[in-house]
Amino acid sequence: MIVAARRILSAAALILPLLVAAPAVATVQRTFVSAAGNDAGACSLGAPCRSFLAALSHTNPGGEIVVLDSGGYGSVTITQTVTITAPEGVYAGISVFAGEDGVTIDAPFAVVVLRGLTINGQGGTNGIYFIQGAEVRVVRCHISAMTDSGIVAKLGSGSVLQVADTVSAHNANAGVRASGAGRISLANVHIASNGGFGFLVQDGPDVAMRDAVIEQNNWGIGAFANTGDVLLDIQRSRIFSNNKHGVFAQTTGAGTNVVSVTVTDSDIVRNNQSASTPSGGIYAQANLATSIRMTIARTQLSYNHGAGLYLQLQFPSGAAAATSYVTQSVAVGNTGYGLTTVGAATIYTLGDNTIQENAGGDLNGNIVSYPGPN
Amino acid sequence: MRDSRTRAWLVIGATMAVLATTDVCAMAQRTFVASMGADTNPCSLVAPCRSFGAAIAQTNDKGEVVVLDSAGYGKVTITRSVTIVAPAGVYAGISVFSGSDGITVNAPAGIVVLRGLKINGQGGNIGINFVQGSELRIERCDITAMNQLAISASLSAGATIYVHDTTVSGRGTVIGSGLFVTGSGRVSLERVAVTGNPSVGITIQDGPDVTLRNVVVERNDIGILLQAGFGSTSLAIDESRVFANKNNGISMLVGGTGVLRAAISDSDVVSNNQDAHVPGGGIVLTAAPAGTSVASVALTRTRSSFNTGAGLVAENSSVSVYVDHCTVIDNTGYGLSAATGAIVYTRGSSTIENNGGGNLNGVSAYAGK
Repeated sequence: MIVAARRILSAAALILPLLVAAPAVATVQRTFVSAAGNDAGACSLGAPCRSFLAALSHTNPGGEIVVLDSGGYGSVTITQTVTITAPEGVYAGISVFAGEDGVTIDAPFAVVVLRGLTINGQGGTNGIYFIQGAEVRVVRCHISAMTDSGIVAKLGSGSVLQVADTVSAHNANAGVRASGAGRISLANVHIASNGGFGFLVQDGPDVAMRDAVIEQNNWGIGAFANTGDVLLDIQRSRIFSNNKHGVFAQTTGAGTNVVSVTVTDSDIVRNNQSASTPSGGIYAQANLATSIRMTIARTQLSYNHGAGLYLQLQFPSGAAAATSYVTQSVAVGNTGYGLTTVGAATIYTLGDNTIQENAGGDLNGNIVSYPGPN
Repeated sequence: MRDSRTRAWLVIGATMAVLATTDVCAMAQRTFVASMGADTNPCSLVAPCRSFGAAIAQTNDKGEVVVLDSAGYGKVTITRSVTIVAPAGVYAGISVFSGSDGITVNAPAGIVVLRGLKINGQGGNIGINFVQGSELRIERCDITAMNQLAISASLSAGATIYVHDTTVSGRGTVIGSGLFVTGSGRVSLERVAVTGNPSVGITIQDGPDVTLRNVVVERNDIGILLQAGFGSTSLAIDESRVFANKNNGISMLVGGTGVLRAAISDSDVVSNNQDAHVPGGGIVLTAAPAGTSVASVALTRTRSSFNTGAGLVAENSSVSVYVDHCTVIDNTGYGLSAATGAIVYTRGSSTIENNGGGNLNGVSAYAGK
């Protein structure tokens, strides 16, 4: 927007200085881009533009940009509420070159919807960079090969990131990473082969994840609380064959921060392929006065290198705790323990789990059966 | 690539500068194919090519080939990292004729993505043949009626194949199998239908780590076949359905030095072994009698019912099975059967009733933890 405006200003200044103060481009509620378009046009259906950037400058706040046919439409920075839609059947690409991000969202109160985009790194930094805004919804997108991460979200208090029906793969850092006291909803996402964490949440977010497949990343999921709590609900998801931990949760810092994780109807299988230590399908560590709580139900914690679940409380003070409840789950064939605690951590089991054939032993440390009175 | 082209340019430029430009095709990060394209074009948006082969030759390493409209685009061999995309709503077909394969991926260290392709056997051998590469991702593809295999993957250590949102099916008397994977790589199947293949639906052999979720395996010969003669093979099946296969639903054979582990949960293994093979049933686990092989299976919240033969039968030593919260009813043979040294454990939490041959044969108990 700013760049386009500058271009208009400088062009106008060269030829017609008298008209510089003329009104900016007219904006409408729906604009169009096409491979045959031209950015000098009005971005109307009859005269579509060639780039998202030009179309955005013609679009009302709260309006829509529609992709008419397959092509590449360039990186864009969004500073208003807008929806960009490539309907099914249309390929709308953004190649992201060095020094750029694909789509940047940078406006308080903006609600931005991105639907049907293919964002491919060609040396570019992040696919979707959510710097500020009320809500970003990423639907039916493919993001790959960024030098940093597929999606990065800095969530202000109460702001929202939703990702659905989307692939984020082969980024050098994270598939999706987010921090701050906002909310994250992931549904039917495939996060694979990223060089860092598949999905990383830090300091503040509430997360609901469903039908996610997180595999072949360096780590599967990271949940870290140093300056704010993390609540992470993992449902019906598959965390498979990551190079290190399937789930890595850690609480640190001077306060009493909490990471609370629930895992239900999910598979955490064959993680920690690199056999790093301390190891496991799930590795959770609380430090000092911080706490980790974890509930695992109807979940596979099997065939991981090291423990199925490794829960640790280190240097505890005050009300610090590391506790996990495990029910109706299966922990078999891990190369270490099935379930293990280190330090003053406690794992409670309901007596209804299948925990067998773990090479290091099935249970180790402070494992307590709980009655399940409710 | 760019370096070698620069060098080529310099050499040619020194000798025959006038002709140099005709020898070097321009490479782009994104190329296009269309039904009205021509392979003499640069494969650009305004001048698309007609075939995948021509487009890939003009695509940068890690670039993309985009299909603009519905048509057939021909078989292709891929030797570098590339993504081929047909957006939903565009039909991008490859007819595979006698003596050839549809897509061959032979790209050492390459990452290849195939999205939205329809591969149809017309006497051809293999739909997608993953010969070599670091990763192959198959999304939203439909592969039908190949003479040998729909998808074949020979995985080197650490290599990966993802198959998501894809259909693999046979047709009539074309004799092929669905998916075949071998080697110590990783296999991820999500929302895949493997149906009506006259031979085996899914074969997993000697070493891979495999997960299946939301996979439907129906009306093949054997539904899923695991063969571990050497190496360590693991399989996790969740929320999947193995139904009405003519032979066993899931067959596991372990021998030699093979190690085989399978965790099956929240799934249905129903109405299999319609041709009444013996030993046969829903899940059949067999170890070589005197081998050093090991097999273990955890069966949780799963239905193994209505099969001809046993719900589950395990044979020979070094085989152990844990059954928890399962429903095993109305099989024509045993519900659960442990034979000649195999151990099948139940936790007292399953419903095992009305099986024609008896509910339990040689079954032990284990305690939950």
